Amino acid sequence: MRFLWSKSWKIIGVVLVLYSLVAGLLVPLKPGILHVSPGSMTTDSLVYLDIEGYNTRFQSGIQNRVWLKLSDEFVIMADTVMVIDRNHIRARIHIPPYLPVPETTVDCSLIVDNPADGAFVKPSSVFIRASDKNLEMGYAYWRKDAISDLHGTGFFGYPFRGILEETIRNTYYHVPMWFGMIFLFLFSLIASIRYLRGIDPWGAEKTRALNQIGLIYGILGLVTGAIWAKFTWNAFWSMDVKQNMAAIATLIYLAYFLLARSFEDPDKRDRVTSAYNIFAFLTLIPLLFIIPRMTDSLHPGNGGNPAMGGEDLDNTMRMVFYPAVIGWTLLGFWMAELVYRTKLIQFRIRERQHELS
Amino acid sequence: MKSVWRQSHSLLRLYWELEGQSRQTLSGVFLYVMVIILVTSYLFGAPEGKVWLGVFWMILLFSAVNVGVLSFVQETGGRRWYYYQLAEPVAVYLAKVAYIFILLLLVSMMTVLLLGMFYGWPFQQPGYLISAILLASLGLAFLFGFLAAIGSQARNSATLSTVISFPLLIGLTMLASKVSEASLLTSFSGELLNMDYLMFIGLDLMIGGLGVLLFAYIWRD
Repeated sequence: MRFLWSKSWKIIGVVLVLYSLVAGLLVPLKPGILHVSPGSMTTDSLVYLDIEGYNTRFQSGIQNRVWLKLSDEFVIMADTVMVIDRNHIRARIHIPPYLPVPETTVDCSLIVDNPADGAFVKPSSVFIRASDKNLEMGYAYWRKDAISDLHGTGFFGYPFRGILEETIRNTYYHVPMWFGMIFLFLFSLIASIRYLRGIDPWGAEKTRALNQIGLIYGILGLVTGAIWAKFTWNAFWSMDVKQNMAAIATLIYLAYFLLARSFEDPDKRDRVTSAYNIFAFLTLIPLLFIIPRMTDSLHPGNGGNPAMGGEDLDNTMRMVFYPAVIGWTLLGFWMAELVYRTKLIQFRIRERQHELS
Repeated sequence: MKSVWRQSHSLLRLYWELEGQSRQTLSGVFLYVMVIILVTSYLFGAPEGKVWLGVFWMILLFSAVNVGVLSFVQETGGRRWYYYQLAEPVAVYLAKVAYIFILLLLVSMMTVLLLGMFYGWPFQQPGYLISAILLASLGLAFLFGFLAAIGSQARNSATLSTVISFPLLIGLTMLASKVSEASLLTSFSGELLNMDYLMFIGLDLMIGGLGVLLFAYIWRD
């Protein structure tokens, strides 16, 4: 029983990581709109909109509806919708001669609804340029249609987001790296303090093991982030404040290992590196948690706040995201424990050899 | 035993007298600043305000590394042992910090004058620059009082101090450049910087507090 208890957190970690890998990679995305053409049009024209869907199941014979939505109040509906195949439809829309707003150019969201896929939106997908202004007439045209009786989605999947598309799954692998790293560094801080206070003579060794895995997590976080950024922001590195701070955090801990290697006397090394570890972690906190919030960032959330909530993380994703965070963190601690125990065994072997010789 | 303040005060006077005799640190840093300014003025011509500040902060950062490292390198084993017997570690740390702080203020004054001569004077409200210099020098002194001590304990101390300190400097550097850039503007309401000043002071105090708490562990031999 005790055996099971002491191993349980490792088992939980492995199960959660496996679950996050399987569920995170296999669950499909909800239907969404990949592409709309033409992207801009003028008032008083007849337009055939080609709509390319993603994970959609368009079919003729059921009610297919398409709207252009300027705001909650102003909507126009397509007259006819032709289904080309599962993922393509063509909607015929009469753009009225006038806009209901004083601006000459507006962007509209496109809403598609059918009983098979439910309703889905592509925000700001179409621009309409007005050649003539008449607000009163615009009101009349744009208030004729209304969005009603939308079908529910009834589809188990992750949300389809414009720029993210399939890369939304990286939330389960990129973000847990940062959580894991912070927890590992936090525990290495505690181990250093315990070492310096004389509570735990092995604290410095534990610090090294935790930092080693924390650093690996940090590098993996940077790499997964850079690959993600290539897909979404179109560059591996865009000097985003969080990217820079993360790179600095990795540098700080690389410096820790450089420092650890430049001592001959192990006692002195343990003392100095533990002191540096405490100093480094606490100076890192403003870099990771305060400065990114004061500057604009490309990362989700305004002004760089981590977006743990809101639209980017819906309930389906939470079911995978939180287990992934816990699982990767536990796995990190297991790896650190293995590193530490290997060091301990090496130390004991050397001691034994010393006794024998 | 004398109180910590008295101890650090007499240590500071000692450092100062030693510096006065050899003038090793100040003259070295002065030469270094001169060379950088001459080289960069060849490279940039008469640069705009942001470059002015960039060069200034680079000079201050590298001077801080040099001052910090030199102040410990000069202490050979015997002299350190002597200080260790005389004074408490905290007193040594505070004396080092005060010494580095004063030297950094001298270096910044010198650099500002020389840059003003070579680059021109782009500042509308120099008050922000002065406050940034004071706060940054204090933070750098706290940081290098600690990190140069770490470096002096290890092999290859000069390179090591530079490498381990530069990632830790980023916060101070970012705040310093943000605050000092306000001095380039003609009209700027200082309230916008309240948060930055608060963080700046907080960061300085945090680095200083950590240095005071941890210095004893690296100083003991």
